[in-house]
Amino acid sequence: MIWNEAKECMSRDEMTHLQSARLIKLVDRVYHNVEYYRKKMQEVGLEPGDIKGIEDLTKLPYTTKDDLRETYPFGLFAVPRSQIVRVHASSGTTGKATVVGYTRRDIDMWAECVARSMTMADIGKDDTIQIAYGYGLFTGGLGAHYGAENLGATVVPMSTGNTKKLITMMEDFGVTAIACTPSYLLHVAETLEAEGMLGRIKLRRAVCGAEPWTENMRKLIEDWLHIKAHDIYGLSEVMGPGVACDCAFHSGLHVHEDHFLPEIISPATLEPVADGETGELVFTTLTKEGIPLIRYRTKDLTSITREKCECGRTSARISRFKGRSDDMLIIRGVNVFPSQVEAALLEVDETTPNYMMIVDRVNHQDTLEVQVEVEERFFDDDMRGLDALSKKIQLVLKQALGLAVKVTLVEPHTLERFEGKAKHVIDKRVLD
Amino acid sequence: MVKQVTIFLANIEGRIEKVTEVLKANRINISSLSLAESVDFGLLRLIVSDPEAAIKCLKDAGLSAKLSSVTAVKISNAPGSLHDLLTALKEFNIEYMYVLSTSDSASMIMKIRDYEAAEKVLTEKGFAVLKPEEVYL
Repeated sequence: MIWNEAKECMSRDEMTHLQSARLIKLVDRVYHNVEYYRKKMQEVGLEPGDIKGIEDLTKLPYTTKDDLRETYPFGLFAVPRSQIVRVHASSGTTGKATVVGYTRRDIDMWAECVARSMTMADIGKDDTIQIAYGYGLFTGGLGAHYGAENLGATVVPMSTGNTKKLITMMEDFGVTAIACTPSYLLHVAETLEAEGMLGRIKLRRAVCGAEPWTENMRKLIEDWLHIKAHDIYGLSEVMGPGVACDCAFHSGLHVHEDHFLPEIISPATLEPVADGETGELVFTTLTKEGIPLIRYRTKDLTSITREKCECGRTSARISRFKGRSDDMLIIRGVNVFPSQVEAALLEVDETTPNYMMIVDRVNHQDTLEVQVEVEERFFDDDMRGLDALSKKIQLVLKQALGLAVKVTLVEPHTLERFEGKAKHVIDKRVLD
Repeated sequence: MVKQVTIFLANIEGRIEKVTEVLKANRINISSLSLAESVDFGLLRLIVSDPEAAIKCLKDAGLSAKLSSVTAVKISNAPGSLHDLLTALKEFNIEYMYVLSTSDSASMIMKIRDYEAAEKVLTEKGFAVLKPEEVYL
C-alpha cells in the first residue's frame, strides 16, 4: 500500500515543479525572517529573487551543525516563539546540543512522513506497534509515536530501558510491529530466545533506524525473528525519523522529496556529484516552518537514484548508508567504517555482531583491536578451537579492511548493549 | 567417565574470583582445577561436588560454562606409577591432564577424546577408573 499516492508517485516534471515553487517560497521566508541566513546570503551577494527554481539551488550556501551551534538555542528559528509548539534537542556528544523547533504544521508534516514510511514497511491500522526509542528530547520516540498514531495503528509507547517488560507486553498484547534501533532489536531477539519466547510472539514488521546498519544485519534480524525489517532514516536537524525509508523491494530508501530536497555532494570539493556516485547527503527542508534548513550537510555518505521503483513510487532513493563522513576512521592511512567490521563479523558463524573497536597509537603506530563476543554454543572445552576461531576472525577482518587487526575474544553478553545509538568505537589516539 | 566444568573467562582481574564466589554461595566444593591461558582469555576446568548444579548457577551469574567428559584414574604415590598409566594409554591422544588429590591417594584427570575406549583399556589392565561418586566430593 502507498500512504500518499499523489505525492509519492508524482512524475519527475511535477515533482521538480512542486519543489521549485516550494524552494522559492522557502528562500524568501528565511531571507526575511532569519537574520543569520540573510547575512549568509548577503555575504555571497544573493537575493531571494535570484532563486527561480531548484536549478538555482547550488547558488545557496551550505548549512552545517556548526551553524546550529553558533545560533544556539533558537537563532535559526523562522517563526515567532508563539508558533513553536515543541522543541527537540540532539545529544551534545561533540559539543553543545543542537536545538530544533516545530510548529503545529511541522508536527503534522512529520507524522505524515512517518506514516508514509511505516506504510512502506507494510504497517497499518490493524497493527499494534511498540515504540522502543527514547521518548524525550531525542526525536526518535515522539516522532515514531505521532506517525504511528497518524497511521491509525495501536501504539504502545514503551520508550527504552526495560527489555523484560517489552517482551512480556510483546507477547501479552500480541504486538505485530516495533520501532527501535537495529542493535536494540538484536538484543530483544537475544532476550526472547533466552526466555524461550521466540515461538510465542506475533511480531511481523520492524522499522529500525537512528544508526547505520548493514544488509547482513537486516537478514540476521529477519531470520532470527521471522519478520520483515525496514530501514527508516532521519535526523533531528532535518526533522527526525521518517525523512526516508525503504519499501518491500529494499532497493534504497525513498526520500519524501516533496518535503526534503536531497543532493549528493563531494565532501572534498563540495561540488554536486552525479546520480549513482557516493557522496555526502545534503537536505533542504522545503516545507518546514519552525527551523527551515538550507542545504544542510548531514555527513552521511550515500548515493542517489531517481529511477522509478518496482513498488510504483517515483521518489528519489538513497542507497544504504556507507557510513558517516565523520565516523570514518583513518587507521594507518586506511579508511575504516565500523559497518565494514560488522559486515565481516556477520560472515563468521561463531560470533555475534556485538563488537567493540579500540583504536590506539603505540610507538607512533596506529593499532586496531576488535573485541568480539563468542557465541556460547560455539565455545568448547578446547583451547585450540578458540585459538583457531580468533585467527579466523583476524583473517576475515584483514581481508575486509586491508589492515592487520588484533582480535580479542570476550565472553558472551559482556560487551555493553545500547538502546540508543550503539557505540562501536573507542578511539584512544591523541593526535596533535 | 566423570563430568568436568569448563568456564570460558576473559583475562581480566577478578574473573576467577567471580567463579569461586558463585560456587561458594551455592555451597559447591571444588576438588581440583586446572587453568589454561592464552593472552586474552583462559579456560578454567573444575572438578566439583555437583557439576550440573555448578553449571546452572554459573550460567545464572552470566558466566559461560559447559560440561565435558573426562577420565579419572587412581594412581599410587610411588615412583613410576604415572609412567605405567601413560604406557597403558600409549594408543590414545591425551589432550591435557591434571591431578586430583584426595586425603589418601592421588588421581589423574585426563582429557581423552575417545574416553570410553580408553577407560575400557585401563580397566582391563587393572587400573582403578573412578566413578562419579568417588570424584564429586
